[in-house]
Amino acid sequence: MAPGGGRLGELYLRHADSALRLAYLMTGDRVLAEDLVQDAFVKLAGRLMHLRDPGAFDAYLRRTVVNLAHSHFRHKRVERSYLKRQAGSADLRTPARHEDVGVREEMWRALQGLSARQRAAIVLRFYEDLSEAKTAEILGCPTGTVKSLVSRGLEALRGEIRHG
Amino acid sequence: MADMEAELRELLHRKAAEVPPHGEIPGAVLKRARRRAVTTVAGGLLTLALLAFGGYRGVQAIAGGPSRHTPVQRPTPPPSPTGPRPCAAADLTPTVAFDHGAGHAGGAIRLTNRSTGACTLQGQPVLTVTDAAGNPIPVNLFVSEPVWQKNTQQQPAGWPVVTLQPGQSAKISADWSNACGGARGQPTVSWEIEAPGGGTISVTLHSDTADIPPCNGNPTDRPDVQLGPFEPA
Repeated sequence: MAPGGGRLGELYLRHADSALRLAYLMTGDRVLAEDLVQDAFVKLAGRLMHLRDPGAFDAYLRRTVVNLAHSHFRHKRVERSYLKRQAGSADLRTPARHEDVGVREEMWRALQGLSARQRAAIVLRFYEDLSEAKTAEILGCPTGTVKSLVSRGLEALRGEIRHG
Repeated sequence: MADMEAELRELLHRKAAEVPPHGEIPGAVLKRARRRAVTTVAGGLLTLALLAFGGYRGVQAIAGGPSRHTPVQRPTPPPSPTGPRPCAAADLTPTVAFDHGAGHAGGAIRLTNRSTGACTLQGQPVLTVTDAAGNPIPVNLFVSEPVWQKNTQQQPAGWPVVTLQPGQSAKISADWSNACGGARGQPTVSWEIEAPGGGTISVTLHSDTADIPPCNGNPTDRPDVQLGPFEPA
């Protein structure tokens, strides 16, 4: 094997940074983002030999990161809903608001409060600059759903910032 | 709106730039990846070996040649389950409760057991969409989560089997949009759902009640249909 891990090592060098940024924007947590990206590479390692088009690796990786983040948040959501039930009506999702928090920081926090799918759609559309069709392909849903995820996500962000 | 999108774009790029660049692949990841690759290859080889062995035995059986092996005993079929039978189409009455708006029509299709005995539904429904004349309409079909999972509710008892006593109902969450292609301009469209116990449950959707959404894309596009599994109503 070549130094640095052969083919997988090369792919890691080429794609890990962009995958990590995507994971970070989706999770808001660098350590978690790092774990998700590492898991994604491990997951894809078993399929490398079946990858006919090496140019498709980027898309596979992106989809795997999104799916792993989604499944992480699904587990968290179940946990959170349990905690919420235990704690009565307290809303654990909305972080405490401080006077000195800037609008951008407020928007960042509000973004973390969206559902995982809304956040993924927003990050893929506004950070990765993907088309609605490409975003739908990665999320495994119709383009109409992407439109509504993005518009509801933006609406929720606007509401949070206005009322926060 | 545009300001908000521009601000959001800027924020995302600024936050992404906070992530420091990476060097080489970490050793631990490489180790896990190698283990994974080996497992995948071993699994593939085992599958190939089993297929080859199966093929060899099959050819032997067809050729009728003498076999040195003991004749294969057919496994005894499991005893017939004593629980309720799978619901047939004749057992179920469908009701559509769709909301409309934003280019979508969707909600739930309720299936009520009108028979005198209990029956079961399970898994992902098999759907065929047809026009009023019964011609199949190709659609882009997407599988959606059950509603209880979306709403982070407790998993229903017995899931994924839904047992319907007489008079009880199950539901399928459904949503569709962009009714172009063969669905475009149709006064009625039929959703044919295969019942696990046999037969087809026919659900007719009418354009005058907006259960058929508008075609907002290319006239030849396929409609997008999202369908969830059978679940308790």
